[in-house]
Amino acid sequence: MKKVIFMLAFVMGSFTISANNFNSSEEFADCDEYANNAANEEVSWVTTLFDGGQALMASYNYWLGVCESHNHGESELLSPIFL
Amino acid sequence: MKKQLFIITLLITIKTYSQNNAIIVTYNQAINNSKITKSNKPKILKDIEYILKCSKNVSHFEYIEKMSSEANRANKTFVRKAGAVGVYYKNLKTKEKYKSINNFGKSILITEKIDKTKWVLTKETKKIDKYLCYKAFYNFTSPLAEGYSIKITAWYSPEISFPFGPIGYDGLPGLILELSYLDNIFIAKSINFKKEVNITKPEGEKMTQKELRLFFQKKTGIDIKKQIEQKAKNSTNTKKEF
Repeated sequence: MKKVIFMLAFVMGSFTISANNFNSSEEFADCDEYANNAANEEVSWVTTLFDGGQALMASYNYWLGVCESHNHGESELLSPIFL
Repeated sequence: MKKQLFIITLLITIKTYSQNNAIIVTYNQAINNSKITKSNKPKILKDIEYILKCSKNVSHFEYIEKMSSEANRANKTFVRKAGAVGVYYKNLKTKEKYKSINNFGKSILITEKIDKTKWVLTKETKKIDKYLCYKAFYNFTSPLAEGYSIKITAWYSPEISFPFGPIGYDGLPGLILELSYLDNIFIAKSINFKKEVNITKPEGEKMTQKELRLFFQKKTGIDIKKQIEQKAKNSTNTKKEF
């Protein structure tokens, strides 16, 4: 009986850990991709050529912040405005 | 009597000018892109304001955030697109030139060479308000992709003897009242002559542009140099001068 309970606890524990890892990596992998895409849409490659990538980095940081705030439930995830 | 009056007037003028050791200039951003503005004329983005504070030796330039967050959100897109995020600081006495930014929560001072821009001065003139301005330009060649160049055009006025301008462009024999590159234009809106101005040097970790790119790559895995080389290669645009 003890063995069965131990096995069940072990399986449940492993499942919870893997589920948590999946959620957290999914959350941030999405934000990296979201920020990268948004920055590349927002800042032209010629501007990146011009300023050595500073505009792209600023844009990446901005959209990463937007995405992470959304992930932490602080605000609604806004669609990037591309002009 | 006439002579005395002339001398008095001259002395008053000299005194007035000698008291103006500083200026505060407000610039608007304009965009010259028919795809965005649906017009062949540049559009002034009146809500986007930058402030340049200068003494005779020190300058400080930055974007001024507006109160409304919704307006800020839209404006900042243009600010980011123009690469004008951050504080531009220059001190001629200490020979320091920095752009201060915040990257991944870290304050960074990007170090720049103080005499980087090799301007070509022309005799072409135009009036901006009451000031006679001369045209100067500079063909910037990027170290990130061979063969590409970007033209930066400045209209400066020798009548305002402050060798500074917007987004770190300076070194001309007068204040830059208009600066343009790609589809971005910075236009002076107002000039306020002052006795003195308080300029604070930004703080942060000093990095070169290359070190900043490596820092960003470490944080994100994105190699900007490689990305640019790839985009230059894939670009359908055969134009190499912008």
